[in-house]
Amino acid sequence: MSLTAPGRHDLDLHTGDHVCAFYNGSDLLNNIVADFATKALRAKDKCICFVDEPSAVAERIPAELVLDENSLQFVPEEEGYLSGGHFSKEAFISNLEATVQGVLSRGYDRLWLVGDTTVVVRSSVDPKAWFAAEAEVSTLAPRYPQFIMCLYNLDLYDGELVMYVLQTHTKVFVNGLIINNPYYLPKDQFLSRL
Amino acid sequence: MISAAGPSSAMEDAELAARRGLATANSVFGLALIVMQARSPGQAMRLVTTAVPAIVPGQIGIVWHPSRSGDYFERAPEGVGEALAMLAEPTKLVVEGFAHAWAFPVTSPLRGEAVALVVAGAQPLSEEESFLLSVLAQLCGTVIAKLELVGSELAHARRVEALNGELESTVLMLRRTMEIHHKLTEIVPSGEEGIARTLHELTGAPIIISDGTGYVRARAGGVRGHGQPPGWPGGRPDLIGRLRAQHGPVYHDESWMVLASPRPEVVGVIALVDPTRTAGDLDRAALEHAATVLNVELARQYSVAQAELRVDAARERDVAQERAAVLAASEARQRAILEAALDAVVSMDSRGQVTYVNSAFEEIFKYRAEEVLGRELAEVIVPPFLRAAHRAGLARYLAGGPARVLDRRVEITAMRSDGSQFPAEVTVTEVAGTAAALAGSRTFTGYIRDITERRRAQQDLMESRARLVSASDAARRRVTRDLHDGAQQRLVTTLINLQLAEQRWDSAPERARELLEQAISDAKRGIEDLREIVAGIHPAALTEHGLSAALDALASRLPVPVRIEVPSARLPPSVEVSVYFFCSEALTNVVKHARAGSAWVKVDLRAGDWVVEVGDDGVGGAEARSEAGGLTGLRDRVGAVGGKMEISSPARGGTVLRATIPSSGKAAPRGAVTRE
Repeated sequence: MSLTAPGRHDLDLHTGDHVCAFYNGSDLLNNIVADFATKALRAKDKCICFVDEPSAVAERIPAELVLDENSLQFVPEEEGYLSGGHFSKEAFISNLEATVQGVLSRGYDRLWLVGDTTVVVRSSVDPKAWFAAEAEVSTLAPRYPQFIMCLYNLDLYDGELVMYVLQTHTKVFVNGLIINNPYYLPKDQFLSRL
Repeated sequence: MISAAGPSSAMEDAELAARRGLATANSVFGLALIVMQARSPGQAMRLVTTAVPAIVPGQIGIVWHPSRSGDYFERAPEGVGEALAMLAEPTKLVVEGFAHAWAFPVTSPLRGEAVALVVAGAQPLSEEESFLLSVLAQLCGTVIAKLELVGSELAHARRVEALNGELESTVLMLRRTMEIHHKLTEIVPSGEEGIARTLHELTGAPIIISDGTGYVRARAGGVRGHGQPPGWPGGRPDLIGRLRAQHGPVYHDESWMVLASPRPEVVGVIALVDPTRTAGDLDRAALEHAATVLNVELARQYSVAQAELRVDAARERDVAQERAAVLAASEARQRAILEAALDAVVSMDSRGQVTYVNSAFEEIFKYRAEEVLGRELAEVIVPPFLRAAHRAGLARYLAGGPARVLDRRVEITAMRSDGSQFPAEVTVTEVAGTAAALAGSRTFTGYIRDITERRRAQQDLMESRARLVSASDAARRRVTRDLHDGAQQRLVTTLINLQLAEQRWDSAPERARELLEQAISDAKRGIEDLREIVAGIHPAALTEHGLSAALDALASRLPVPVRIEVPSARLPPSVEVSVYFFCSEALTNVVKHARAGSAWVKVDLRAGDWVVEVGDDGVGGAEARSEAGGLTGLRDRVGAVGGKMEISSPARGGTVLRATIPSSGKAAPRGAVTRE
């Protein structure tokens, strides 16, 4: 599955996008992450992947694109989200901002950050804290030259949380397309509903 | 859970409620967008029911079926199912435990079942909430229908894909099978070697073709030689049995094996060596096809072998008939020979019963054949005191004991029909290879010779030799006595007279002359005595002048006139001596006992033997007894040189002694002289 429909480049990503994507099964997960990383590497940007099975993703990425070992970085979900062993919105946002600043300071033009979120369910992270952070990311993302994509497993998240996902991401990946999310709520509006 | 924030005024509340309702509606449509991505009805319904509390706070969502539970729905409680079964649009329900409950139909048009999304809680639903839930329920129905369609299409596509795969595989298999068929059919004329080689080319695996006993008849691909392959132990019948029962390849001893058996007794086994068990369906198909080809090949070989056997059988029948004719002729000749034999021939079986006797047997044992056939041989010809030993010996031999009398000459005592016994020489042989032996019986044949006469001759010879020794001793004693009493005394007297004459030669010449004359006379008498003695031992005339002159000299000293008729030629020395002494003793007897007026001697060569006759015209009546008239001594002397003597001596008819002496170095007579 491609992140961009053939001949529909107008729907491609734009810097500052915070995209949510829903998937069924690890095969689709790995394909989405690999396509995202491939696009980043082709643009010679920095790509960081919060995934627990990096090899399944790496084998889907053309090896010739990985020119610099630092350009593609795999980080376990727990390390990416649960700094200190537990989730903290403030720490997460702070780390995220530090990361993008660090990438830019090392000469990259943009950061492509993609992450699976199974650890949220697996580690019983407070949904309100998590989605508060997601809402904050939507305000953080446009401030830096970066693309952020969050992946949600439909087997793990129930309907209520799916609605929260839709309300906290500015764009949604659906049916192979990245489109503007009509169900997005600005951070303050969303937080007022929690 | 979305919680409400309380507004301060009614207008603000209305605006806030409107915004909240708009946001909720927005979220429901967003959820609907995601629900449409659900991969299963269960996932879709779970997303919806878990979203219900967010859509309508305080409410729960359930999926019910009127009559049963399923993978994404539960069976509705009693009393509710009937209402759900008739459900066509959102309907209010009465559910125990809940103040309010609504049912929204989510039935898939494909299933035709009345599954419903039931939302229940303490508060009633607003119209907008009911609308949103109704939309979600209908969306779920559509998603379920889509998933079922997609699932059906996917399943169909998979089936088509599988069928295409099978079809492609089948086509490949058919092509390969045709190739196998063509190749294996082409090599039929090249026999088992060709089958093994072709099957190896088709499969790449080593191939071994063996028969029912495991003997390898052909190999190909890394295996060499013929015979029993190592590692193929017994249990072959079990393997053949398994192959017969299987009707297809059997994996055994690191090989796939199939059976080719056009007839129960004709068995071939093809082994495709596959220790890693990687042979595929095509390999096994080729193996089975090869078994079919081998089946045809074995049937062909069997037919050829049967035809050859029939030809061989006919040929063997002809040969057997020819052999039977030859055997019958041989047996007839053998029977004729046996019948003509001088020895008695008798056959007996392993029970000791007589099965055959020849004519000589009848003559010797005084039986007729029909009197002895079928009787125990021991009772017929074996004396009672030997029967137990005879029976024991036969039993011991038949039990595998050593043969003590077979195939050698033994002397036994036999018994005639009248009970009289006689010495016999017997040779017994076991006749091998006869029809009787093949039938499990054994036959023994005895060749029996009556040796009564031989025993008697042997006895006579022994007695004769004893008499010769005795006569020789007597002659030696006589010579000794004659020398002592005659010649020796003359010589001693001669010596004394010569010594006396020497002593008195000067003093008494006359006496010396008388003594000398006496010595000369004694010496002459001594010489005469010596001549007489020597003549008794070996006459000088015989040595110097031959038989005729010696007999003349002998006759000249006898008081009876003797007419001599002998060959003038010299005879062999041994014959001359024998004839001379025979004649000397015979003529001495004439002088002593015959009171004859004349005698005659005749020597003649007849049929290779010297015949010597000494006759007289005396009183006759002489008897051939060793103690009577010296005739026995004559017989012994003649017997000593292999001859025989006859006597004819009727009372008052004179006596004629006739000696027949075998000629050795005989001389042809050049004439005969007769002297009175």
